[in-house]
Amino acid sequence: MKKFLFYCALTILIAFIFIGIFADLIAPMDPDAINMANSLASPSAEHLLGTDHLGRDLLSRLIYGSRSSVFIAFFATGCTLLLGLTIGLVSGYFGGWADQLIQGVVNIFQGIPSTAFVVAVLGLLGPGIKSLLIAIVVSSWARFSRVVRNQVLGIREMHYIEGARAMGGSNLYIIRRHVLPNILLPLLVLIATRIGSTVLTVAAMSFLGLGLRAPASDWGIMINDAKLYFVNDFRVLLAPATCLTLFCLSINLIADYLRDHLDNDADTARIL
Amino acid sequence: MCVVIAILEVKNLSKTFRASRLGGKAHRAVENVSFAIPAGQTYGLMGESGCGKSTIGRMIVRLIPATKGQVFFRGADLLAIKQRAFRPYRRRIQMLFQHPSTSLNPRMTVLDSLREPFLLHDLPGRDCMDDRIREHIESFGLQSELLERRTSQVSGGQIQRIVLARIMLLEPEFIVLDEPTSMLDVSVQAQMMFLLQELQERSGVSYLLISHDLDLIRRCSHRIGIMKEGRLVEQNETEALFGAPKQAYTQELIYNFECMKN
Repeated sequence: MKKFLFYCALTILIAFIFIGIFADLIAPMDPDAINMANSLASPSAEHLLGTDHLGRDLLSRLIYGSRSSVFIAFFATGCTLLLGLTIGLVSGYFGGWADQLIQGVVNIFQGIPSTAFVVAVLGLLGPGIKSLLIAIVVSSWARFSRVVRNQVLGIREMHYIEGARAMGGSNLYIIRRHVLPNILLPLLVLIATRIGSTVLTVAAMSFLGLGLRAPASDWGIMINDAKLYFVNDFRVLLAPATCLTLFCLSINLIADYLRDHLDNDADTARIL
Repeated sequence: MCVVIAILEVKNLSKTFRASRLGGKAHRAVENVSFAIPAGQTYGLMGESGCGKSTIGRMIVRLIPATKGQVFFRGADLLAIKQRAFRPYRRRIQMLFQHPSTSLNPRMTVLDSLREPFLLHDLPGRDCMDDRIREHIESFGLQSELLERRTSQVSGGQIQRIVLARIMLLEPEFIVLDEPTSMLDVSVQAQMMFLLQELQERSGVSYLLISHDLDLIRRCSHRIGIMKEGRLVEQNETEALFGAPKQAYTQELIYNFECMKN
């Protein structure tokens, strides 16, 4: 059953990525084309999911919305991973004063609630994609780095690391050939869960008006737009909310499956 | 008079582990240890767990820094050499570890593990290293089918042989054997020690054999050093030490060993 759910989730995720990449070709209409005469129209042959309060095609906006959500989620997670991985590796592998200093900073960053942190950074930098990316990376690298550090601390004590060093392997060689391959699989689970929560953060910030701004097509903005009309026409809220739920659910199912099957490492499960 | 030339000479080697920041005292793991190992011979370092034997081995191969002392290898003080200049010595001095389960990267295949010496050093035959590896491991009693397996799918005895085969690709002159058989079955222990002795006869490699197994040390070493609480309490030729131990601790060890044997 879990395998079936995993493949379903993977199909949904790939579909979202595909739709996001080829949004220009797939979307039937211009997502920003306003037609007040056709406001809140029901689904028809012309508008498969109907229109929103400004008469914009709901399906096209959903398709373009998946582009921004998927792009920001993957890019922000990639940047977070790069930063967290580098800092965690340095901290765990070299230890000493560098580790103590880094862990002090990590403790401070982990002590701040992440949503409040993102809001604060966006408040400082102002709304926009760039600010949103920076805010997400700044608020979430610490957890990545701590997981990486904990993994590296365990691996560092293995004889094969000492053996490689005794054989003449440089630190860079040992990290690249022995440390990284042994921490990437456990990290994969964390990356998957992180992508899901990043999509939710992007939607939440856009909903609050701190992320992407109207008229951009984004699921968070669509939910924000729908808040005045969903009592009369539930469809305008249901469409972006369903996409958001499906995306996050598929990511969580994939992470669940990876945790159970990819690596039988009890420590990984404990950390996560 | 026959002059024996030492390949490795340890002089007043000491190691003190600093106290932790949360309290506790500094720990003197090794104190003023001195011994010499002639070329082509085995020096057995014997003592109970935690007496500092492995720490000495690690300091010799420079896996941990020494607090004080000197380690001369063919006349060169290894501990005084800078990191970069030490690289050529990495090929000549090697170490075999105690735990087979963590001696090789579990995500790598046996072949990848055996390729490492070629990748790290400019060994001859690098262009056809896979063929050389295949040939090489067969001389260690290993089948070439093992090469495609992950190291996590290989038994402990086989791993120790693979690690030894990997070390011998570098043609070292000196190897620290840190309890090389303590995690192996009795029958595999004998095979492993036989293999090590055969390699010594064939290549003239010298060993520092670290163990708490007096029987193993007696059978394999030319000379033995007895350690207690970080100090070398007695050292002598193997038969001389067993025949007439001078220190009370050595006498007690040998007495207990003979009692167990009988």
